[in-house]
Amino acid sequence: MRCEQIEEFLSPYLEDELNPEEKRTIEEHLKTCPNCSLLLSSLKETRESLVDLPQLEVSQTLLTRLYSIPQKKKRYSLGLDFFLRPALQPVLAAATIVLTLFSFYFFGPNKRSIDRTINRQLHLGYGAVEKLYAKADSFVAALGEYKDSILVSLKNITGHGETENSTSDKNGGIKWKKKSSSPDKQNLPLSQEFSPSSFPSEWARSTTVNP
Amino acid sequence: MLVDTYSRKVFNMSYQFSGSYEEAEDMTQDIFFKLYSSLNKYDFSKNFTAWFLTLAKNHLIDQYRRTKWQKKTRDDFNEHLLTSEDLDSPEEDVLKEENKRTVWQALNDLPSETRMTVILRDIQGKSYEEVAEIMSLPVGTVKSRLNRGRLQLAKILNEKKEKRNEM
Repeated sequence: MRCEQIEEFLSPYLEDELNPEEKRTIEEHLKTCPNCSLLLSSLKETRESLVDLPQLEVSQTLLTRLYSIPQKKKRYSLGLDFFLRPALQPVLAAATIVLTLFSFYFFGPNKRSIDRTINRQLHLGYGAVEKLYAKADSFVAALGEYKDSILVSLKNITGHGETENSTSDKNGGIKWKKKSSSPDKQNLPLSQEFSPSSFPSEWARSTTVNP
Repeated sequence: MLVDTYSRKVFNMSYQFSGSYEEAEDMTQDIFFKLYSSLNKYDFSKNFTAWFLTLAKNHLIDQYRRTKWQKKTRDDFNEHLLTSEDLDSPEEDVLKEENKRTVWQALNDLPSETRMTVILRDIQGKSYEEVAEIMSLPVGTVKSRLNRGRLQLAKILNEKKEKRNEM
């Protein structure tokens, strides 16, 4: 066997892990090879030196630091646990989005154009709401004089006048009666009482939708 | 208490691996901090000591790879290691002390995994099976690494002895 191969067996030889045949081969080689013998002697000394290295005691300072770790960890983890609660995740996600948008707005290069766009949109929205209010006012004014008759007609249609035209059955359901044929001012047909042609021209104008 | 049982083992493991007393203290603190954070991951069917020392080994090797301790020199051998009682004994001869000094410094020349294997087996005196469990390696791999590490240290010691003889 060559020295490089013998080297591989020196450590197991020292620990007595070789079979008798391998052991004999190593010993025969060592008798004739001073280099390998020297290496074996150094290997022995290395092992002895490693085994003799002392195990140091832990300093009091380090022990104090180690004992304080659980309290430190508890203190840190309390704060962290609060923020890591699953219930807070949607809130944190929303906060992240809001913060991202704010950072885009405040630190982005187009802050002025964003301001202009927001102002324009607010103005348009405000104008649309004003128009809607104006239309609603004119509609209410136009309907003012027809208010009573409209209410009566609605009662007839939806069954609010059920005391006159309907009775309750045993199960609480409503059975509809046939309408009286006598022309009563209160029971005029809707077409006679309230029709679009009777609306004032002012209302018609205000509700016209411009393309 | 975990600190009472394991602080000495972990500190010595860190010191022998890093070679720096201050670094070893910081590393020990980091390892215990990591331990408290990882306790909920511990599988009760496993050996706690082996599990904890694996955690310590992983931390030390990760730190070593990140900061490359091998570029730093190890503490002077006398500074902490000769304060031990057995080294104060009168029969401690100069040659042995010189060998220890050489081996101590030569530990820095070993690759991190090999160095850790040598520390666990030869300095801390653990069995092959324990070392294999801590290193998460088969026993055969542990033996071959150990063999390689010891040979490297022996060759360094050999060179040192040859130089001494030449002088």
